[in-house]
Formats: sequence, structure tokens, C-alpha cells
Amino acid sequence: MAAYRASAERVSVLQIPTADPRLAIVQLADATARGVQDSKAREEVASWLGDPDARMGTLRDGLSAAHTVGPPMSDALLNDVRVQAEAMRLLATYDMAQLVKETRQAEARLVALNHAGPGQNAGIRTEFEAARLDAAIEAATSQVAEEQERIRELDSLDLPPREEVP
Amino acid sequence: MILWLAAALAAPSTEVQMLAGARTAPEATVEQPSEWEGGSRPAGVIASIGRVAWRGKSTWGGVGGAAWGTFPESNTSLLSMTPRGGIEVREGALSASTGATYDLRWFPGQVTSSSGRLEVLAEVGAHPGTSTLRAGATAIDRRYPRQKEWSFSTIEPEVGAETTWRDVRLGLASSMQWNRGRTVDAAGASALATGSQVRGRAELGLSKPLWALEFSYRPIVAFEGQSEDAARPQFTPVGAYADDADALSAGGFVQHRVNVSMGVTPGPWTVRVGGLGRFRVSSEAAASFGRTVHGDVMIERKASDHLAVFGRVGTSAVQLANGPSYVDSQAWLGLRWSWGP
Repeated sequence: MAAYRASAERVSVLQIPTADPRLAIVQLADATARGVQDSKAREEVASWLGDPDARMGTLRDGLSAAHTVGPPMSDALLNDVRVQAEAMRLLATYDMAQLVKETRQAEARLVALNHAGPGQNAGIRTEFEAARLDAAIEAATSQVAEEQERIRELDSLDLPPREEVP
Repeated sequence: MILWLAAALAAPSTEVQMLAGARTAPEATVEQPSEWEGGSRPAGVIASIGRVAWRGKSTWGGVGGAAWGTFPESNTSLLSMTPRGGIEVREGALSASTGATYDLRWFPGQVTSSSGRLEVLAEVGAHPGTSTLRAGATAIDRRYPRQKEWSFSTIEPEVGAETTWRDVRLGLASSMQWNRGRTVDAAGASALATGSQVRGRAELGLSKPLWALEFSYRPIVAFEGQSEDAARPQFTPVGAYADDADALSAGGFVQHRVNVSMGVTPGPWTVRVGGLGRFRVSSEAAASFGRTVHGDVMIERKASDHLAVFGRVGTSAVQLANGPSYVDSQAWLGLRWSWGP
């Protein structure tokens, strides 16, 4: 319990102060479901969660703490952890969707620039633009892999479903 | 082929194409098709085209090459090699980039048309938010060792701005270009001819996850430079518009050029549609290209992670300012192998 509190305080010190994140979470979920961009909601949720690695540590501490205390404290702790984990999953899903969209846009643009195949003898400005698009595609692909890993980490927390909370 | 396979083993990203088809005016791809007014005979085309490329954190480079064979007449067969490389350093919202490409073209059956072309770019940029402001210069030097009077050089300082809003990209650029070529004087001797051009570029791009549309309008107002530029081909061997066709001022002209291209990538399919319209009003009745219309469609389908099948059809219609014209239609089918990222 003390470890969870200390960890949560460490993360909160690093956070940018935000208003109640619930509205931003709802807006981000809506944007993700509709496949549209909502940078403001994304930033609010990301600011609330703070550094993802530190937040993952906090969630693990919270789960451990929940096993050391009885109800209703354990219920409250698990609920607290679940809200944060779901927000992290939502953020990762939203980021992945945006990255995949950006990657596909860049790929389509490479085709439109007539740079999708060899032998085009494109001007040097097009070469630079193609190199930038290639770099953006590679960076986005690598970031998608990181987000997938984050979701796997969240799955590994093995949170009990809401209705099964003892 | 062995060269490409060897390169594929060494380079992080490699592509090889093999294609076969036909075109109606193969001479249009030759650097100096001096007799193209007399008509052109259709020819079969077979080609092997390849590209190896690598990219570092702030650098990129590679080399492309092609072997084009035409039959039954082989005078437009071509071997080409194109090394290229660049570096772009970014520090906060500022960037600096420089790069160069070299395009070596050798026509074994028409050596006088063989040339080497160097293009160099140096540029600095500022990137506030989703916008980019750029200032730089491009220099081109093209040499024909067997026909020195066809050689030319250009230098083009340019300033430009680009901004992105959601899926829309808007770019504007303006440049001044100075060019130097050769002309034949009254005594029949070769003489230097210098010219200049004021150029503009307006670009509009729309990108969606499955398709992208690129539109550009490029006006040019050219002054002086008596070199006749009609001998320079309008299109590269793969059918792309060759910017060198506009390099020389040819006695002065006003030109409008519009490019539209679209890339569509639904699943294993890739479709590219390109179109170009170019209209030039020349100050002199020199052998300058007056109008150009071009359209092409390329469809590719992935057969596996590394292999794709593609087909392309295209048509270019070109008319000289003083009347004659030609139409070059191309169609080919091919296979493309790719390795690496």
C-alpha cells in the first residue's frame, strides 16, 4: 500500500497538472472509435498518465498492494488501477491508429510522387522528400511496435474483470 | 542481373524490375533524336531496372541502374547508372540539407547521345509547427562528351514555404534560374548562349490512408538564351517528364505546366495515375516544344512479400512550336522483386 502511494506520488510529481481527465478519456475513446484525430484529448490523457514506464510501475505496485489488504480497500485499489490501465490502453490504441494512418498516407504519397519503383530518375528534391517519407514510415512502424508491446504489458497485469472484483 | 543480385545481398533495401512491352516512338527517349520529325517506327522494349538504397539517421544514399533494349532496331538501347546521396541535419526547428545525384546514360548504338548529369542541392529550412520555410539552390551540369554543344549548366536559387493542415499540404515556391547552353551563330560556329528564367511552383497535396493526390502548377518566364532545346527529350525512358526539357531559355518563352498524380494503395494493389499538361509560348520560332500532354496508369499487385506484378500504359503527345508533332505510347508488363525494409 505504502509502495503504491509512494510510486503514485513519484509519477504525479512528473505529471503536468491537468483537470479531471474523465472527459478527455471519453473524447479520446470517441475519436479512436471514429478513427479521427483529437490532439487535445490525447494530450490531456497523456499528461494525466505521465511517463508510461513509470505509470506501469505504479500499476504493478497498486496490484501488489491490493493483494495485501482486504475489501473494501482492495476493491478501491483495483478500480484505481483499472481506470489507469484502461486509459493507457486507450492512449496506446489511439496512437497506434494514428501511426498506421500516417504510415499509409506516406506510402500512398510515395506512389503519387512516382517514387514507388526504381528507374524514375526523380529530381533531387523528390529524392529528399522520398527519404523523409521513408524515415517517417520507419519511425512510425517502430513506434507501432512499441505501442503493441505496451498493450501486451497491460495484458500481462491480468486485472480481474469488474464484476469479479472480490 | 548478377550485379543486382550481388547488390541485393549487400544493401539494406533493393528493388529489381524486369519488364517487356512496346512503344510507338522509341526515339523520343534519345537525348538528341535529330530525325524524329521524319516519323518513328514502333519497337519492342525489354528492360532490367534496379535500385539499391540505404538510409542512416540523417543520411540517405543509393544507386540505380537500368539496361533498356529496343528491337528490331537497337539504336535507342540504353545503359544507365544513377548514384545518389544526401544528408539532412535537424536541430530543433531548423534543418540543413545537401545532396547530389549523378545520372550517367550511355546509348551504345548512338554514342553521341550519351551524357552525364550532375544535380546538387543545398538548402536550409525552418519548421515552425506544421509549416516549413526553405531557402536553397539547385545546380545542374549536363555533359555530352561526344557533342559538347549539347552540354548545359543551370543554377537555381529558390525560396519556398509549405504548410500542412490535417490531410492537406500546400506549398509555394519561387526561384530564379540562370542557364548556359550552346547555339550555332551566323557563321555556323558553336557559341555560348546564356539565359535566365523566373520560375514559380504551387503545390497542393491531399493524403488519405489509402490514397494521395498531388497537384502542381509551374509557370516559367524565360529570357534570352538562344539555344534550341527541342532536341532534348521530354520524357525519361520510364516515361516520366524530364525537367531538363525546360532547362534552357531557348530565346525566351512563357510556359505553364500542370502535373496531377494520384497514388492508391488498396490492400495488395498499388495504382498510380499521372497526368501532365504543358503549354509554351515562345518568343522565337525556334525548335522549341510548344505543347505536351501526357497520361499514364500503372497497376501493381503484390504476389508475395518480395514479388509484385505490374503493368503500365502511357501516352505522350508533343508538338513543336513550329508545327511538327509526335505521339509516343508505351505499354509494358513486368515483375518487381524487393528486399529489405
